Amino acid sequence: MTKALKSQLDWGSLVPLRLKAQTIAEGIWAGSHRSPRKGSGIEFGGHRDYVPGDDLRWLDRHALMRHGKLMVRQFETETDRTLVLLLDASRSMAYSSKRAPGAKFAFAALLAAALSKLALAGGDPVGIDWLGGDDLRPLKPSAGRETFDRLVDILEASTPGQGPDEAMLGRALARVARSAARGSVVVLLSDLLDLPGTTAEAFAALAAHNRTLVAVRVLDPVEAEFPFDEPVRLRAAESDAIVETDGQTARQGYLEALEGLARHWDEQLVPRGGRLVRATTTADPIAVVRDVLLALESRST
Amino acid sequence: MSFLVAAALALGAFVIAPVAAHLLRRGRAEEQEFPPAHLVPVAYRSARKKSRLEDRWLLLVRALLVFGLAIVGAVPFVRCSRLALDRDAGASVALALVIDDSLSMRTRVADADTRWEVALKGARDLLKSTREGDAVGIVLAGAPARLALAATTDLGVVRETLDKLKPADRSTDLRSAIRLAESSLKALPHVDKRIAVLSDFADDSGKLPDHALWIPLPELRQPSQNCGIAQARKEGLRVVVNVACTSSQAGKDRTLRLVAAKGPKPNPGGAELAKLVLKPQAGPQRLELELGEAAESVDAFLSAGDALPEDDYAPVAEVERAILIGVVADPATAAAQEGTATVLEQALNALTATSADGPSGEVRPLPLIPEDEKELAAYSAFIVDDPPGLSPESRTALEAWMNAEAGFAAAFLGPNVEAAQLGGSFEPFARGALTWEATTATSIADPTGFLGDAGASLKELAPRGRLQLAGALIPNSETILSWDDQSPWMLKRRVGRGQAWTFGLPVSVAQSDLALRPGFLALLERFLHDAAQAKGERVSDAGTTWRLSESDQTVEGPVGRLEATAVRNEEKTGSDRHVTPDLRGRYRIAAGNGDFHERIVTLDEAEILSQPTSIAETPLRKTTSRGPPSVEVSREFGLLLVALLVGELSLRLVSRLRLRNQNPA
Repeated sequence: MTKALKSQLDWGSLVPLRLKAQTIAEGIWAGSHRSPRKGSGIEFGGHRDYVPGDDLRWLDRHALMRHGKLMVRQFETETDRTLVLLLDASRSMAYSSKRAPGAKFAFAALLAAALSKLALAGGDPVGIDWLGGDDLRPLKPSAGRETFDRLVDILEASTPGQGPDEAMLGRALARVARSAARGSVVVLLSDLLDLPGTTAEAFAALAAHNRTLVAVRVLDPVEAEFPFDEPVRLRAAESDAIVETDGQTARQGYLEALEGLARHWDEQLVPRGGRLVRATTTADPIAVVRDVLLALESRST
Repeated sequence: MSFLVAAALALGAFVIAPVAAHLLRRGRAEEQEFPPAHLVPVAYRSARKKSRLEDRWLLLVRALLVFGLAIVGAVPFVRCSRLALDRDAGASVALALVIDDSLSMRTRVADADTRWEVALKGARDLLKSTREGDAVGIVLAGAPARLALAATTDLGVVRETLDKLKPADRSTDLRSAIRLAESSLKALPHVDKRIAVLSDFADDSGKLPDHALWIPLPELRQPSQNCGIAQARKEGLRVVVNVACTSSQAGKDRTLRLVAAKGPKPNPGGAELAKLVLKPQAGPQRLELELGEAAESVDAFLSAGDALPEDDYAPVAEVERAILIGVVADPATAAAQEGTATVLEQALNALTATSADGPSGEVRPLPLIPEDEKELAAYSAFIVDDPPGLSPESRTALEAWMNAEAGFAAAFLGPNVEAAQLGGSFEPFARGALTWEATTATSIADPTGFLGDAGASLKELAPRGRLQLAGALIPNSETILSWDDQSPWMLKRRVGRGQAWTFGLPVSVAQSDLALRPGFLALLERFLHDAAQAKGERVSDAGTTWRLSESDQTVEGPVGRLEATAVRNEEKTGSDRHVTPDLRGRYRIAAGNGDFHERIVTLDEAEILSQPTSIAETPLRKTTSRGPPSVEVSREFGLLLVALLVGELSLRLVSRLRLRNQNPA
């Protein structure tokens, strides 16, 4: 099943994710000093569940005895930088036009892998969760070299599926809220097209606990430009609804609607210190990742 | 129509299929995935409109493709009505096109074209179906039949020749035309030789050659109603007009008008001189009209009302006087009986009185050879028998007369040459001292070539002597007939527009039995015929060739100037100029000094009266089965289908490119 779905997704020239993400990360590092954090933090920041790969030095035996489960101690310097990637796995993310190097999902996965690489290289834990999709496996935030491999494996094995409804959205955001400790960074990678109407508000609500929010809107160039001039019949990915229109006549209205959607996200995120980064799949991934980092830096300043 | 034809044509009903498909699909653009479709405003009406416009051409091409396939399915059962060659196993064909350019072919057929135009179109259609390796020749069947183009494989030349052909007022000579077509194909290496006759078969010349003929275009042989003027002659104020009608219906309510003519072109608006209503009767009728006033030149017009208006006009000819023949013969030696006319006179009288087709004329015996040119001016021909020489004055007068008046002079030289007077000579007939000699030669060699069958009687002449002409030839003399020992007997020499004929025997029966032979009459008849022709008959039938004199410069006819053709003369010493008027009417032949004389071209009465022959009623029927008058159209439809297919693919390609440019998704 997974293989069949995987074969349906147009990964195009965006694979292998490991190498591509490594290249992007190196592009980001180029010209800047490499300063991964060393050592442990100095201010205790709470406990969390142990996940394989965690440094055993921070395993808290007292907590094990008290709660009966493995827990690790966290310090303030680490919890601030936890990166939680929230990927939209709705069906619309599988869309790829002929002009694009691959599907939107593939591009989002590449961005996610590159961001993970950068975060992990800095010693920050990275986790992943999904909006929509069919039984996709989330990954709780963790650090360590093997985390990147596990994350890439998960990304490569994932394919878009059912879009999230309100309930699914609520559950996904609740998971994120739990795994993203105070000061975490939550990056949403989505086309923002087929999400429930309250998604922007619900996502913006994650800004509590000093979390930094960045939404990366990934669109196919055809979606971004609407380059039709002749009569077209357009079928929506999620609902199979068909719209018959004349390209020339409808372009302006469409672009305005698209921009209105982005403006809505901006309105929800910016007051909470968040940012919306606009990207198309033909864009340079390095530039997009840099935009995301800039958005994060502007938040911290 | 067989089941296969019906089935193939029923395929045409499938034209409905693309139409139905189009209707179902009409206005629907190609469907494609677009996730943010819910953000796109609907513009249904303009989208439908654009789609309809775009699909219309594709619909047309597809419908035509289906239709074409149906037609191809029906081929070769489906044929179109264009004439074409039906080939046996694809072999090359040698084709002789016999095209009738007689007067009757100018008759209008149902759709306002003339038979001539229909025949020419048929010839062009046939030419279109020829291909490389085929040989095509063109024979014209207007009298006299002519080879317009010897069979050639250069089809471009054939096309050009067809384009140059013009209708004529000639009578019909299909028989000769078909023989000519046969002989034109004989030398060709093609196995498949055909003669296509494009004619109305309005010909009374008798049974046609028993040859496999292809006679297409039955519309040419539809009967028609016609009245026409064959000839019109004027004697003083009295005009006799010969009119012929194919039926009494054709002659009903028709009026004959005589009007004053003005130049070579018909002048129907001229002053009316006389008028007469035709009798509604079939066949020829002779009408006599009196002119109210004297007119130098008159035209006759028949009121309109039949399918052949070209014969409703005729120029009125002045009645021609008979040619005058001067004869100088000694009654003492040349008379058959004492006190009667000479043998020569009797022969000439017999010829001019009894011959229906030969020249009419008056024989005038003269005691002496005239010594003044003016005395000879009235004569067309002059014959002298056994003269004892010609005086210098006579010689000068004869030569001047032949030069200026196109006179024909003949001299039968005999024993009197040895009694030539002092200062006398035999020029312009022979030169030098002539001798009469005994001979053992008894016959003229091969006289039939010049005189026809009657000349055979000259093979046994039993002469007592003969004139030795071997050393007496004047330069440019031509030996026409010789004795069986090759010594010349008859000489011919051109002198200006006239000719001098010299014979090495006298007419006298005391010297030979020449005058008793039928060949003698044939000889005289030929002489008089040539003399009359050279003098110029004022009336001739359409298609008769005229030889122009040196002084004749231009020939102006009813439709403009005629171009003269240079033809090498019989003596091969130069070339004569000939013109052949094809159309009836008045022709003005102008000399360089501004003088002119007129000739009139008339129609053959039989040509007006003859009706198309129904081929089904003639013996030709059994030999006319070569190929149907139709053409297979599979090649044309095949090419059309390929073109349509290319059109469809082009349209699709253009649509796809446009779609790709506009719809990168």
